[in-house]
Amino acid sequence: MDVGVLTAMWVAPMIGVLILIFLPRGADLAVRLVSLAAASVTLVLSFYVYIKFDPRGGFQFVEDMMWIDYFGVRYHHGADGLSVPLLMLTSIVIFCGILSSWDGIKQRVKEFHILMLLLVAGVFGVFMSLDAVFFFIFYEIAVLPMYLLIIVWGSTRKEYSGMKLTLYLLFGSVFVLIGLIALYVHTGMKTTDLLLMKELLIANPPSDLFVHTVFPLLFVGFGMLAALWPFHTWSPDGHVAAPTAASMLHAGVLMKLGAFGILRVGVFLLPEGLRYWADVIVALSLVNIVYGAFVAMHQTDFKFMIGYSSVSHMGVVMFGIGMLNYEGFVGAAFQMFAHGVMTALFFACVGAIYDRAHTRRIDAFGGIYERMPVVCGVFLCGGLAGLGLPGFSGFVAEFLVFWGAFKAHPIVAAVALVGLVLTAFYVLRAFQRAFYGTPNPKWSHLTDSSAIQNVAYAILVGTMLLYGIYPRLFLDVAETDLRRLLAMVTAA
Amino acid sequence: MVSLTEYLVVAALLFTIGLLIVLYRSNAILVLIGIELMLNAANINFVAFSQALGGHAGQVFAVFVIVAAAAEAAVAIAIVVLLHQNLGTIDVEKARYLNG
Amino acid sequence: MVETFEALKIPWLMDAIFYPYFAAFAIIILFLRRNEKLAMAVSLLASSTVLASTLMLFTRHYGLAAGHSEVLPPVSYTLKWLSTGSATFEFGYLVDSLTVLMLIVVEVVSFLVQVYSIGYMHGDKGRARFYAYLSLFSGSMTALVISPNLLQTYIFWELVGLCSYLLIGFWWHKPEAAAAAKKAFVMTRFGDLGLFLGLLMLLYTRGNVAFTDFGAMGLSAGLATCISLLIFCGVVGKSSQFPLHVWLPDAMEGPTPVSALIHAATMVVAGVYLLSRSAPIFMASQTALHVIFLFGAVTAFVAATMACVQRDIKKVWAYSTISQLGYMVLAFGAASSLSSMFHLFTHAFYKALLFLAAGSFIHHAGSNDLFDIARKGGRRMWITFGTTVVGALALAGIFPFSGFYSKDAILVAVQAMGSPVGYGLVMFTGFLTAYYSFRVVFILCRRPDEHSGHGSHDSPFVMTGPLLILAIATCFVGRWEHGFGAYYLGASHGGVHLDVAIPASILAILGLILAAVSFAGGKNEDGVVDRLPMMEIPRQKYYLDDFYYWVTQKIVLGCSRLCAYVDRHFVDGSVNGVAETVRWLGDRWSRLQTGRIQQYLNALVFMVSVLGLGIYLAVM
Repeated sequence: MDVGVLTAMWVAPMIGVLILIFLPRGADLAVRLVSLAAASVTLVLSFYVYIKFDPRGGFQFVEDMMWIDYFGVRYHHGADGLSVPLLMLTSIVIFCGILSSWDGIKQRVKEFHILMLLLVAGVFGVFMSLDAVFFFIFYEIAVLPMYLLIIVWGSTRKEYSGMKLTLYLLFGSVFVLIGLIALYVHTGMKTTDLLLMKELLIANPPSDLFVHTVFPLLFVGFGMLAALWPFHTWSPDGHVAAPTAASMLHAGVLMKLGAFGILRVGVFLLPEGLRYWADVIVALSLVNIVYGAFVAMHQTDFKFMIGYSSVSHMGVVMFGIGMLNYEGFVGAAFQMFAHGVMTALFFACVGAIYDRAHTRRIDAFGGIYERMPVVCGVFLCGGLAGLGLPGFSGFVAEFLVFWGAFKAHPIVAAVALVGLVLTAFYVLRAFQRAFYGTPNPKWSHLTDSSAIQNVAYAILVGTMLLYGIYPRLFLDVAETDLRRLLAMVTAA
Repeated sequence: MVSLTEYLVVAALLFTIGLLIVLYRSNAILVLIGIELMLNAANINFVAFSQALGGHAGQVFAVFVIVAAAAEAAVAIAIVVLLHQNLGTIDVEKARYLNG
Repeated sequence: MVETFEALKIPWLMDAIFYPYFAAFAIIILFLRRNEKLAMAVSLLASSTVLASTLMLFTRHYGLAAGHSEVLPPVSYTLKWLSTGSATFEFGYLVDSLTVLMLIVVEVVSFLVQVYSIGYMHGDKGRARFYAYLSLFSGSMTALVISPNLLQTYIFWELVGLCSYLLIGFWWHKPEAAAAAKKAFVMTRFGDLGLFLGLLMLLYTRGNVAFTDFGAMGLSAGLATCISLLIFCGVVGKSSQFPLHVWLPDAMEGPTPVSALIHAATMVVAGVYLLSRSAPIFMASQTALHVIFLFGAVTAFVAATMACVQRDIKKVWAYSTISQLGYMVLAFGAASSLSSMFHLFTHAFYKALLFLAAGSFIHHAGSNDLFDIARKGGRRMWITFGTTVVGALALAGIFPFSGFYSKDAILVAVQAMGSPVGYGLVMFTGFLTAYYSFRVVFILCRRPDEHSGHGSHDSPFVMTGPLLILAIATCFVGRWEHGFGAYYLGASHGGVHLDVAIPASILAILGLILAAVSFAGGKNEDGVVDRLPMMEIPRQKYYLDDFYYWVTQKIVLGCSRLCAYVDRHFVDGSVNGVAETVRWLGDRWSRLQTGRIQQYLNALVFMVSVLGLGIYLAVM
C-alpha cells in the first residue's frame, strides 16, 4: 500500500531543484513560487503520511528493492512512529522558511532556493532511509548545502562559521562511518539494510567490547550534530552566520538528524550500548542543559542567545534518551518536534528584525514593541514555549522528559530543572531589554512583519499550540514504536 | 653484429644525458630537448628489444612514442611561448608560482 | 448523586464557565486588535456569561447541599489528555463546595474589574490588548479553580503567571514595569520548581495526581512532609510568602485594575486555594503544617511592618495583601482550612475594593503618593473615599465588617494550636494592620491644598459602581460565616469567640488611635512609628531586594560569565586550537613546495634510484 509516497517526498524537492536550474536568472518570483510549490507538495505528502499512519506502529509505507547486490545495499525506505512526526516537522519548517525569507533574500535567489531544496531532500531521505548507505548519503546531502548557504548569504564571520560547521559535522560523520563499517564487517558484510543488520546482530550478538566501543562512536558522531557538549560550539556560530531560512532549517531540523540518528542507528542496532553508556549520556546532557542556559544568558546577540538555548534544549532530548524509560524516550522524541517548531519560530522572528534593523545586538534595541507588535508577540510565544510554558508543545515534551528523569534519577532531574528557571530568566531578560522599555527613536522607521511572514508565524505558533493542547496527536503516533525501541534497550 | 648490450648501453647513455639536461639546465628549450633525448632512448630500447625478442610490438610502440613526442613537443613549445610572454624569460627557475 | 448533577445541568454550566473567556481571548487577539470598543464588548460578554453561569451553579449546588446533612462529595468530569502507561492525566473539572466558593470570588471580581476598567483604561491605546489579557487571565484562573488534578492546576498555574507577566508589563514602555514583570515571572517560576518537583514526586510514588484521590493515598509521614513542602514552595512563590514576596510590591507597576484582580483577589490566593485543595496531603504531616504556619506568621508580620512605612498607596495595599496572604497561610498551618478559605473569601472583596478605590484616586490625582492624593483633594471623592474607609475597617478587623469575622476564625484556630508566641505575633500583626490601614485613611482625609481646584468630583459611575458593590459585599459577607462553614465543611462552624474577639478588637482600635494621633490633620509626613530607628529595616524591605540583586548579579550572572568564558576559551578554544594546529602544520609542510620543478625532479629521481637499488638488492 502507498508505495512511493516516501520516495515522492524526497524526490519532490529534487524536481523543484531541476526546474529551478532551468529558470532564467532574475525570475525571482517564479523561483520562489516553484520552491514554495515543492515545499507544499512535501507538506501535503507528510500530512497524508501522518494521517494514514497506523498507530499500531512498525515501518509503514515501505519501499524495498535491491540496489547494489554485491554489497547488499538496498533502496529501503519506511516511516515509523519516530520518523513520521519528524517528516512533518521538516515540511512545516521548510514551508515556513521559504515564506519567512520571501523578501529577505535578494541576491542569487535561484541558487539559494536550489540549495534549500537540496538540503531538505537530504533531510527527508535521512528520516526515511532504512539502509545504512542511503542513510549516510542523505545525511551528507543534508549537511553540505549548509556550507554554501552560510558562506554566500550569511553574516557575521560567515566564512569562519561555515567552515567550522562543515568540518565539524564531517568530522562527526567520520565517527558514524567508522561505526557503520564496523557493524557492516561484524555482520559478515552481507547487507547494509538496517533491519536485516539488526536481525543478523540478534542472531550473532556482538561481544560486549564491540558494543561498548562502537556505540559511543555512533553516539558521539551523531551527537555532534545534536550539539552534544562539548561538541556544540559549531552550532551557535553556524546559527548566527546562516541566513534566516537556513537557520530555521538548521536549528529546526538539521540538529534533529543527530538525535534521530542516535535512536535510529545507534540505539536500534546496539541497544545494549545505550544501557551501558546511559549514565555518561545523562551527565553530558545535564551539562548541555544547565551550561547551555548559562552561556545563553551571557550573549548579547539574539542569534547567539537562541543558538545556545538550542544547545540547552537539545540537551533535554539526550537527557530523555539517557533515562531508559518510556516517558524519557517519548519526551525526547516530542522535544525534537517541539523544539524544531519553536526554534524555527525564533529564528524567523530574529530574521525579520535583522532584515529591518541590520543588527541583532540585544542592547541596541529598546521599546521596539511599539513598531513591531506582531514580531515581538510571536517572539514572546517562542520564548514562552522555550521556557516550557504549558499550552505550548514544549511543556508536554519537557514534562515527559523530566518525569522520566525523576523516575530514573530524582536528584539529577531537580538539578536539570534549574535550567528551566534560567531559561525563563534569560528569555525574559532579553525580551525586557530589546522589546520593552522606552522606545528608542533610532528604530522609529521599523515596520512590522509582512503578511507572508505572518502566515509563517501563524503556522508555527498554531502547531505549537495544537500539539501543546492536544499532545495525543503526537503520542498516539509515536507510542508503539518508541515502546518497541525501549523494549530492546531494557530487555537486552 | 651489434649485440643487444651495445644498444642498451647507447640508450642508457642517451637517457642519462637527457635526464641530466632536464635536471640541471634551466632553459626551457633545453629541458625540452632533454625530454626528447630520453624519449628517443626509450625508442632505441623498444626497437632493440623488438629485434632481439622477435615480433613487431616494440616497433609499433616506437612509432607511437614518436607521435606522442611530436604532440608533446607542440604543447610544450606552446607553453614555452606563453611562459615567455608572461615572464619575459624561458628560465624554468623563474616559473615558480606553485611554491607553498 | 451524579444523576442529580446531570439533572441540575451542571456539566453544561461548567462548559459555560470554562470556554467563554478563552474564546474571548482568541477572538480579540486574532481579529479585534484594532477595534477597541468591540473587544471590550466581547470581553464583557464573556465575563457576564461566566458570572451568570457561576451564580447559577452556586444556587443549584448550594440548594443541593442544603438538602444534605453532610458535605457534598466532589464530582468530576474528565477527558483523557495524556497517558504514558504508568499514569494517565485527565483534563476536566471537579465540582465541590470549595470549587464553587472560589469560582464566586474569581468571577465576581473579574466581572467588576472588567467593568471598572472601562473607566480606568479610558483613552489608553492598548485597551483591546488589555481586555484580551484580562480574558486570558480570568479563563486560566477559572480553569485553575475547577481543575480536578494537580497537573491541570500546574498548567493553569503557569498560565496565570504568564498573564500576570503580560499585565504587569502592560505599559511596556515604562522600564520599571518591564523589570517588574520579569521579576514577578522569574520569582514565581522559581517557586513553581518546587511545585513541579512535588508533582513529579507524587506521580512517581503514587502514579496519580487527582485531587479526589489525595485522601486515600496513605502516604507515610516522611513522604507527605516532603511532598507537602515541595508543593508549598509553589505556594510561597505564587502567594508571595516570605522570602519570595518581593515581586508583589514591584508588580504594582501594572495598571491598578490588574493589581486588584490578579495581585490581590485571585491569582495570589491561588496558592492558598491549592493548599486547601490538597489539604489531605498536608494534614498527613504535622511537620509540614508547622513549617507552613511559621512561614505564614513571618510573612504576615514582616509585610505588615513594611506596609506601615510606604508612601505609595498601591504599595501599602500590596504589602497588606502579602500580610493578609500570610494570615491565610498561617490559618492553614493551624490546620484550619475553613478559616483560611473564609479569610480568602472576605479578603478578596475588601482588598479588591481597596485597590479599585486606590485606582480611582490615582486616576484622579495622577499620582500614587498618599500625601499627593490628599493634597489634590482625595477626600472630596465621596464614594471613593467612603468605600476606602469601609475597606480599611474590614482590613483592620473592626466589627461588624467582614474582616472581623474571618480574622476571628483565624485567631481561634491559632489559639487552638497552643503556641503563645505564634498567637502573640498574630495578635500584634492585627494591631499593625489596623495602624497602617487607618494611616492611609487619615492621610487621605487631610485638607486639600487651596489651589488644588475645587469641585473635584468623583470618578465616573463605571468605576464607582463596582466600588459600591464591593463595599456592600464587604459589609455583609462576614455575617455569612455560618452558612459558609456549613456549605464548605458540612457542619456549622464559627460564631464569634469573645475571648479572642475582645482583645483583637481592642488592639485594632489601639492601632486606629495610633494612626489618628500620628496623621489626623496637620501636615507632617511621618508619624511616631516612622521615627522609630528600627523602622529603617522595613523601609529597606528587610534588605531582601538587595540580597536578590546580589544573587542575580554575582551568582547567576557570575556563573553565566564563567560558563561563557569556559565556552569561549576552553571548549571553543580547543576547537580553534585544533584548527590552528592543522593550519600551522600545513604551513610547515608547504615549505617543501618550492615551486622549483627541477628540485622536484631531482627528488623524484633520487627516490626512484633508492627504491630501484633497494628492490635490486632485495631481489638479489
